[in-house]
Parts: sequence; structure tokens; C-alpha cells
Amino acid sequence: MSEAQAPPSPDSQAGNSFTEGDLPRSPGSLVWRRLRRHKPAVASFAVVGALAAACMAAPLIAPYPFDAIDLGAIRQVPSLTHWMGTDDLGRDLFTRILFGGRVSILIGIFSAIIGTGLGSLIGAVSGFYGGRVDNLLMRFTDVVYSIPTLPLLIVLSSYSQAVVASMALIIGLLSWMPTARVVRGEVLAIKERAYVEAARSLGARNLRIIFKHILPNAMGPIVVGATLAVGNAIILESSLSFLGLGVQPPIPTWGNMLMDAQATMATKPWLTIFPGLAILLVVLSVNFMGDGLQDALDPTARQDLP
Amino acid sequence: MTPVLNVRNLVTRFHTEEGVVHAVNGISYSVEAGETLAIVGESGSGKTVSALSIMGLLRDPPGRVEGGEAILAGRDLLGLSPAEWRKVRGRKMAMIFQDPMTSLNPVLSIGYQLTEALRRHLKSTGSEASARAEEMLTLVGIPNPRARLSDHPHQLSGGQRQRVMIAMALSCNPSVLIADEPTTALDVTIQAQIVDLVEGLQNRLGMAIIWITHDLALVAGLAHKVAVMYAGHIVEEAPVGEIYGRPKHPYTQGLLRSMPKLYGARRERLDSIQGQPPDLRRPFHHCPFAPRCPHVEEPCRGKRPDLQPVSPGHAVACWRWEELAGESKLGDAP
Repeated sequence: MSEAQAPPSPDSQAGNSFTEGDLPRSPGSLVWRRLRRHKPAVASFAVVGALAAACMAAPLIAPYPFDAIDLGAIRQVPSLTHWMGTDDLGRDLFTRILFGGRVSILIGIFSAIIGTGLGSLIGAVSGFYGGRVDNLLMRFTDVVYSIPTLPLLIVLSSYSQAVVASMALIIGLLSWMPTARVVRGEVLAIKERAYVEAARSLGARNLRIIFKHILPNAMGPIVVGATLAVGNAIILESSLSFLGLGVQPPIPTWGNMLMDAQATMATKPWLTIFPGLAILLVVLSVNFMGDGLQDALDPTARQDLP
Repeated sequence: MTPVLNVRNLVTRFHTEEGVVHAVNGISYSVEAGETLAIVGESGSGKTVSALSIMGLLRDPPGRVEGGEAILAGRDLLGLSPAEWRKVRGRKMAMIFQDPMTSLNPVLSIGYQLTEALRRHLKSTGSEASARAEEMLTLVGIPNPRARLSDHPHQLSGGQRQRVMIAMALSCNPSVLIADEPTTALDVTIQAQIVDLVEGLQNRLGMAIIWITHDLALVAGLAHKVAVMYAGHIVEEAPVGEIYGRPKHPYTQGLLRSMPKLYGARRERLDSIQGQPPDLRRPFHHCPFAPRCPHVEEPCRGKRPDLQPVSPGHAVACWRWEELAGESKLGDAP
């Protein structure tokens, strides 16, 4: 990707060489420029993008139906007909990885949206209004924070239907606290900026100030937090499914595939390796994405401004 | 003429952990349409706090307006509910701030920020609002205004940003504009441009201006009348010519002497006013300037002087102004 769209003019000097065409149009394009320089993040975006696309298109590209049992071909090693082998019931592992990814990634994304939305709202209200509201909301955050997540998840999911929507909701409702704290801190700083005062001097309402003037300026940490939350949610979902409390068979998820593979872990390692690898790849990539976004969105990282 | 804005006995205090800070102690002033009042004083003298008080922008806690009134178009602003006050801010009364580099929101376009007040107060819709925004940018002298609407603040220079701030403040045609040191953060040539711009706009739009500054040189070419603030009190108020020609208060005289002069001996050191501004945590039962005043005598330490008329439009809060006018002229005080 070439940075220079305009040919350098003859009198251009270092540090003084940008022309109209090089000027960034918006803060968004600046972020994009910086992000492109973070190679692991770019690679991760590609990996996650490709994986997510493959998983979402699973019904079209998967070689077999996800629940097609073939008792004549159980626990086969990876081969040309079954790229990742087959499981205890002769189901094609590659197909199930693709379908399982659908569930895992959807739960990851939706619970991150729910958690980040809730966390941003609570953090913003807390930081903006301060005083008693702040105290109340932050103590509530502390309380939710100190509840051990996994046991609570186990209880909640045993009472609810283990479908994608309820799983995403439960995980989202238990993962908003870090976002709330970070956003509160950001809002505390941003609400003192002169442009907030200026907006107020023009008669803007509190809600408009929060949503239009303050939160967009806190977008950096929010986006980074949301990205990392996707990874955490995928892991949580896998843990629950591994314990048999997540989405129920025959619908595959990476977690319940791992659970199925428990007994044969030593003798049929591919049944463990492929779902494990899928989780590792996605979570690792998502974390790299978060890392890259953090660098790109951090307003103090100004040394590489064009 | 009746004044557009009439502030009477404004009292603002801050309730902090270290005690009550008496930031503004019963100041009064008024401005008429098309008139500019400069409020001059050093840092911490209460200039900005008094402006924020009448805009309803004081952070409470710790700040609180505890007395007085501010009558705008027959209504006392200080009694307004927050919702009513929001309807006044930006519509009837607007404010421009000191630092144009931080007063625009970096993530929103110029066009959006310019039309915010229009949409809020005049219920303007998209094309109508952006046409008005373009008109305002032309008015404040931004070249190629249509293209600038989609720009973000970091694409503009400091002077341009202050022009945009002025355009934002004036977009709903307010009757009072409060300018809180709008040129302090700009370099001198841009300062002059901004002052000219605001004067030109005042002639066209006829709003009253309250210009807060510590720069007396700026005031000379800009204001119609001047109020000098010290420790939360107005110590002298006069038409601009009187302040420069016949300053009565020792503090005003000191301020004028501490200005660099264009003519005169080069190696001469600038005069400074001895001592520190007083601690505002205690109310004054004496003249607030007494501890630093070169002419201090017994009555000054006993009782606080109120503003006394000197001539029409000129008032001074000093016990000894008549005596001092007799014995010393500006420039040859000790």
C-alpha cells in the first residue's frame, strides 16, 4: 500500500511536504493510516475476517451437513475426504469447525456489543454526573466485579435455554465492568475539556453532550475494550460448552467439540487439536487487533502523524 | 438607552474543602446594545467567574451564585431553571473562550459544530442550517466556507479556529456576547485580526459585548467602557478615555504603569505592583487593595470603600481618590 498519492512537488521539504491530497480528511482516516502500519493487527484482521467469512458461509462451503453421522467412518485421521478427520460418530470435523465457529463468533460479537454498550452507558453516566450517582454506580460495579463469573454463568445457563441469544446476553451482562471503569475515567477527563464547556455555552443538553461530545472522544478505549471482549467471550463460551452447559449438541461449538474429544485426547489428538487451534487462532488474532487499535487510536501516539 | 444586560450586586462563592472562597463580591455593571464593556483584572480577580455566573455555567459544587441579579430582556437570569437557562445560552447570550485549540471538539466536523446551536434553538433543518453555517463562516472571514464545513478542527489554524468559535457563538444572533480572553492564546498579528473582526461584527449585528481580558493595551482600541476588577470587586469603572487619561484608583494607575511604553527611556525597568493578590477565603472589611497600595492610610484599613462617582460614567472605590488627585499625577507617584 503506497502512502503517497500525490507526486512530490519540486520544492517539497521534509516535514513540510504535504499537499492538499495528503491531508487527512477525518480522525477516522488517521486511525486507519496508523492501523495499517501495525503488521500483526493487519494480519489478524485478515485471519479473523477470513475465518468469520468461512464460518458464516458454512452452509454453502462445508463439504458435509454438520450432523451427518457416518458410522462406517468414525474417528478417521485427517485425509483428503475428511480434511480434519472425523469424530466419534463419523461426523466431518472440518464441517463442524465451520459450523461451531458460527456459534462461537456470533456469541463473541453479540456479547461484546451488549457488554460494551452497557459498560459505556454506565461509565458515561457515572463519570458525567459524578457525586452520588457516580458512587452508587461504581459500588454496583465493584459488587458485580467481585462475583466469580464462571460459577454464576453455570447457574444462569442451567436455568436458561442454552441458545446463542441467551448465552450472548448472559456473557454480556457479566462482562461490562471493565468497560464501565475505563469509560468513567475517560469521561471524567473529557468533561473538563474546553469544547464541552463551549457546547454547554451554546445551550446543549446533558444527553447531547454525553453522546455527541464526550463518548465519541472516548471511542478509542471503547473500541479496544470491545475487541478484547470478543476474545474473552469466545473463551467463556468455550468453557461453558466444555462443561456441557453451553449450546447443546448436536449443534457444534468449539467448546463442546473439545468436550467430546476429552476421552480420546491421547489416542485421537486431531479431535482436540483442531477445535483448540480454532479458538487459539481467533482469540490471539482478536487480541492483536485490540493491540493495533490501541496504538492507532491512542491520541498520545502522535509521533507518526503525517 | 436601556441596557441589554444589567448585572446588580452579583455575589459568587466557592465552597471548597479549604473554606469559602469569595470570588465575586457584589459587582454591578450593565451593557447596551452595540456597546463593549471590558472587564480588566489580573488572574483570580473574578473576571471569568462573574461571566460564568451570568451564563449559568458555574460548576455547582463548588461554585454557587449567592446573590444579586442579572437582568436580560426584563428577566432575571439567576432565577432560571436549568432548562430555561439552556434556552438562553447560545440564543440570547453566547460566549467565546480563551483557547481556540481546545474549544472545538476534535471528532466533529466544523459544519456539525456550527449548526448545533441553530438546530437546537431555531429548529433549523439540514440544508437550511448548513446554508446559515456557510453564511456565518463567510461573515467571520473564512475563505472557501463550503469546503470548510466538512473539515475537522485539526485542519484549521488557531486563528481560523477562533473565527469558527466566533461564528458558532453568533450563529443564533445573540444580544450579548461574552468574550473570555479570546485573543490570549493567539499571536499578536492574529489578535489584531480577531479584534477587528469582532468590532466589525458588532457594527453589523449590534450585539453588546463583554470582553474579559488582562491586556489593557487591547482594551484601548476596543472597549467603550472599562471595569477594573480586583479581588472580586470592581474598583474602578469608567469610559475608556477616562481610564487611560484620568485613572483614579491606585490599582488602575499601577496597572497602567506596568504596561510597556512605545516611547521613552529604553533601559527603564517596567513598574510592577508590589505584593501578592489577597487570599479570597476571608471577606474584606477593609479596602482589598490596601496591603499593596502605595498610598495606604488609616481609613483604608478600617472600612471597605464603595464605588463613588467621580464624573458621569466614572466611579472609583477608594477613600483617598480626591486627595490623591490633588497631590499626584499619573507617572510621578512613588
